[in-house]
Amino acid sequence: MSPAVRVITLTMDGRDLSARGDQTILQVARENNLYIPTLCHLTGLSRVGACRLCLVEVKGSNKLLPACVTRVEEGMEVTLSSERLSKYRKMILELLFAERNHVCSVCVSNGHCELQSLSQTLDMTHVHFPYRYPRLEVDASHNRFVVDHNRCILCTRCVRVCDEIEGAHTWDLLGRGVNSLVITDLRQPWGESETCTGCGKCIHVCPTGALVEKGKSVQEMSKQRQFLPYLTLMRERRW
Amino acid sequence: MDDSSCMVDVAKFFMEFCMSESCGKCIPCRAGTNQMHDLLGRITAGKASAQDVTLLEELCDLVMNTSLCGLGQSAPNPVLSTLKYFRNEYRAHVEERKCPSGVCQVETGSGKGVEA
Repeated sequence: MSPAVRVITLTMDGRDLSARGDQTILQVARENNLYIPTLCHLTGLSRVGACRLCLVEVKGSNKLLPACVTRVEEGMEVTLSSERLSKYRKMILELLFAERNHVCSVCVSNGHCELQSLSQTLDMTHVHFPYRYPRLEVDASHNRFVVDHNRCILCTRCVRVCDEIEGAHTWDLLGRGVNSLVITDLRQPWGESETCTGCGKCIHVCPTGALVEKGKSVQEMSKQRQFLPYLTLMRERRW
Repeated sequence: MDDSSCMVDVAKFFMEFCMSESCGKCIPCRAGTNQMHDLLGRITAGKASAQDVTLLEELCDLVMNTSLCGLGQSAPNPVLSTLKYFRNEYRAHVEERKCPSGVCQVETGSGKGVEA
């Protein structure tokens, strides 16, 4: 902790907490075992604030603020859960389920899926929106991995880990809006990608069954993310 | 724009713009504008129920309050304005399956260019 960083005090859900001035609301909440749902956020990767599940209410602000990118301030009064927030969070999950083809019963990630576990935690029991059922391709051209766009939620974790941790930047986004897709290189089949190192980091940061290893059957794909905190720690500039 | 314009169709036009301009980064704007556009399409086609209008209003609230940037935050405005000042036109599409200005190709009713 650098001496320039001040220690500040704030309240979350009525609890008095102290924190460093350079921390985000999400970091402080997690340190104090307070729950904020997240989907695009992953410690060790850059923050994008895109999934909007971590939105919290801050007294004095008429907007909801994303906890993953909002820094704490002195005297902040944060509300992490309210009827309004849980309604919005459920609706966002419903929108994701309706957007593409998330069928848990046939998914290799069933039981290990962040989208699935979030829906259970947040009591999302029904999808009120009409399903879009888009017909999206599955790219199995890589000899070890598969990308199934039907299960992708466009969190861009794969894009970030490939660029920031592996340094290959094989993954990127194509198109815009609902037609966005994660692509390898210039939309070559993954197996023909010249930049992919085959490290498999994208597989293990993917929250759903969109990026998986070949040869896994239903429920068999569990993700191993130990490398991320390890690499983050090893790469920190300390001396 | 005058009484020959259908306000539901106007809302759908603006929603189509927002949907195609959405970058796709945040979920409420990417998926929300698409759902709202589909709902408006169902209303103008005379295939919607009263629940669909409620759902549309809930989506407006969500997209306005949770979107990341100004595009998503302002995307529901045309729908909210037309609902506020021309709710009777929405009602005509949903309950009577009619387009008061005759712009929409409503499935059954007195819409322009509809057969039987």
